[in-house]
Amino acid sequence: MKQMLHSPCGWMKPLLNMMVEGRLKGFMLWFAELHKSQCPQCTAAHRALLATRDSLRRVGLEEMSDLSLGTERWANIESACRASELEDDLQK
Amino acid sequence: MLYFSLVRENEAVMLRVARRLMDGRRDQADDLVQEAVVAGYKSFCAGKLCDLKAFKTWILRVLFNHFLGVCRSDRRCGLMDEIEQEIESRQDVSSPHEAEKNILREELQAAVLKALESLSAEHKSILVLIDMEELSHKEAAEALDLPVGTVKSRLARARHSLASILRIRGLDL
Repeated sequence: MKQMLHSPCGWMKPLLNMMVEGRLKGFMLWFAELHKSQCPQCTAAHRALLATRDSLRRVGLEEMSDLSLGTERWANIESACRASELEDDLQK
Repeated sequence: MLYFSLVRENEAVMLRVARRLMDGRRDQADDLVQEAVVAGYKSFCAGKLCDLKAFKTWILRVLFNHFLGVCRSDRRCGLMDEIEQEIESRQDVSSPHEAEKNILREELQAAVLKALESLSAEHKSILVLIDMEELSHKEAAEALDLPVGTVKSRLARARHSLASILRIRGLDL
């Protein structure tokens, strides 16, 4: 992507991402927080990243129905695997 | 057989990831998993998996490679030129203050899923594995066959892209 809306400062991008993941510690965290407090672009980008990540988490936690391939597909898989074994045997 | 019991242990996660990658199209996602399981069988029998503990990330890698193959063949998961153009064209006119202020969580989640469809296969995969399936960076790196550093930088770019798409679509994040 060439340009972003409300782009954060280039050098802050990895730091913002680490902040979102809670991986930024110590001096670097203090420094990034200090910069963020004075930079509306980075503040907005940090908020947007947090909201996006949290939404993805919630979507990921949503239950999906019927997480099974079903008997028909399993039968197809097993027969395809057997066929590939036979093919390999013939080639040998 | 050992392979099938390992696949069955990971059937749910494979289906979840595949359905996210295929934008919720269940039949196509199930086809993808089915093909990946068959392809994985051949590799498994050829001894390509050294450590059984790594089966989950290994089978996800097989699945991801199949997904990339599908993308290459139908071109619908290619890089998001349209979105990039949209972002550029709105660069100067959009303002967060113009966007709706209060968006219900459900609406945001629906918008996130929709925006996810617009991302490239690489960006979508990394978000599905790490932010939705909560794999660690190391596990995602194994599943995608990438160095951990690449996973971290790609994840950062993917999140920024997704956040930008949501903003240009009027969501005040």
